[in-house]
Amino acid sequence: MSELKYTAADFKSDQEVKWCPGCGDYAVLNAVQKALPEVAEASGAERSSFTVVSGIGCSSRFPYYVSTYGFHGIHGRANAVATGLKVANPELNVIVTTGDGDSLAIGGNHFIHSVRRNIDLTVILFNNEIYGLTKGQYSPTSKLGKVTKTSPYGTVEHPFNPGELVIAAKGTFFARSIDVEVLTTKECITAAAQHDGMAVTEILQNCVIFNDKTHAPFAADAATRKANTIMLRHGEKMTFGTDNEKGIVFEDMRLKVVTIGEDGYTLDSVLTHDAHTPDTILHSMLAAMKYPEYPVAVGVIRDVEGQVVYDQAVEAQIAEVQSTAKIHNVDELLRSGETWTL
Amino acid sequence: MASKLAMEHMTPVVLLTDGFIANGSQPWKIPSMKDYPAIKPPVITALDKDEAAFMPYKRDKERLARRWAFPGTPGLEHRIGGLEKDFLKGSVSHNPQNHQRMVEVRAEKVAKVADFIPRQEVIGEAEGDLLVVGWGGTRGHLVSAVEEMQQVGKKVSLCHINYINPLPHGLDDIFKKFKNIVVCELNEGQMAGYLRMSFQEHRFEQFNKVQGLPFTKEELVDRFNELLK
Repeated sequence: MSELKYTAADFKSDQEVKWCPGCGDYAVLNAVQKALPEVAEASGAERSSFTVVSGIGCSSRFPYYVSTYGFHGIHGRANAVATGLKVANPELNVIVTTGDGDSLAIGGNHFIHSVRRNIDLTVILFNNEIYGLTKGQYSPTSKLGKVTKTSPYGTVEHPFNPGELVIAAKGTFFARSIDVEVLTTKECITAAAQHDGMAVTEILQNCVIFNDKTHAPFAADAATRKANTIMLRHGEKMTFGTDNEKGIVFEDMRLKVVTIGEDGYTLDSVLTHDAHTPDTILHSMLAAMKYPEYPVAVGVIRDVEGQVVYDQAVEAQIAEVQSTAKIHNVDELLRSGETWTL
Repeated sequence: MASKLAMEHMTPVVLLTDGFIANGSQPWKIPSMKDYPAIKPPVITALDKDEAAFMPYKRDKERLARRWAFPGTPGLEHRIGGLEKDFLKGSVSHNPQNHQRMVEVRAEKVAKVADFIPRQEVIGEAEGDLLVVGWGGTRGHLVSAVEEMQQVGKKVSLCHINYINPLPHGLDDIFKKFKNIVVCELNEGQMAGYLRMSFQEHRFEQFNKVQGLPFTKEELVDRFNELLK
């Protein structure tokens, strides 16, 4: 790290970090502060080119803790503010920190449309499956039947899976990590920040107060995660398990978990991850894999380059129209219609 | 003007309009941009000479506006947002005294806008029997009604307010010089209530209409004549 221009300390503000003791957000902050020096190095970017925009919620306090430009914004509207910023100055590296309440409830519309437009934003979506800041109401990602303050007899509504939502909206990048997996988070954020277009990274985050252990069945400790999650890397076989003995195969139009060496399955039968294919079907199936039938997929699930990027297209269009337009200023615009002189 | 105030004073501005303004049409002289006042927002690209580290909440004396450092400017990195901030440094602050100071300075910042908007003027004589007060898209009908009364020798003038918060300077001096004041609005009297709160020494009559229709000149004249009896 010593040869990098910046270190993690350069991205730590002097602000006192205020989340509950044991909150998963601390680990995400740590991972982002470790990732940004590498992102800056890879792109030659100055620290001042990074801007962190958030909405409202626990995770949306994030910009205060990163020592660069930051905007703690409007509930659900982080993506809208970030879009304005990126389009106004495409040179900026705009990072959005948001939660399942902020982006998938009140901000659901902004979220899907910014994904669809493929704006070059790095979105970190903290998913703790609960409204934490407002003290424990169920969110659009809370599990069906979840008992909360606003669902005392259990929810009767089906949750969103953010990965399926992003990929269905033809998102060009989707990654997933777990709060305690700092290295995986760092790897995902680094890839996301370097992606050309909208990059969503979902962090499965524990709310120690209002939804403790919601991800624990597959994420409680290192051994549980090894057995019940699968790290996807482009070009690598989809294997996982305590001894890496299991794999994912595609059979009867479905994904299936097999044990390598049993029932005729070999390593050759196991799928190789192609994060770069524009085709959405397999990426969607991988993002949808749910414990306990499947391992939960982490890592970069989808990373497709070469698509139209909104802010770049707007910039190019402005330059093109300006070069050929007959109207060059407001005075000419006002006199371009049906005007006359008395 | 709304953009100028928002950017030069670094404060949100709400621009009010209505269907009558939006749908009305008449030939008008197209202005030239060179006749418009320049907008000079307090954008900065480097620290002030006496500043060792950037103080994002430092304010200028005239307007109490913060300076505007665009994202991407090296050396001026800072965070803004809805949580209360330290008076100068801009860090999140939970200090009660700091909060009071910030609330007061923000109110003072808005109040100071009055120094930068036109002083209130009266259409007609500066003193008289009845002052008609209006605001927004009712201006045309109020002017017609007031002028009709002036032509027959009635001492009626119009005070049409274009800025609501802060109110322009000069209103108190105008109100003092009329025996009667009537606030005409196409609502239930919000401006009248606001003026009563702001000028407790004056008495305000009301004329209100909420029919989705503009005032007519006739009904205004009738009401004004009643008040002059």
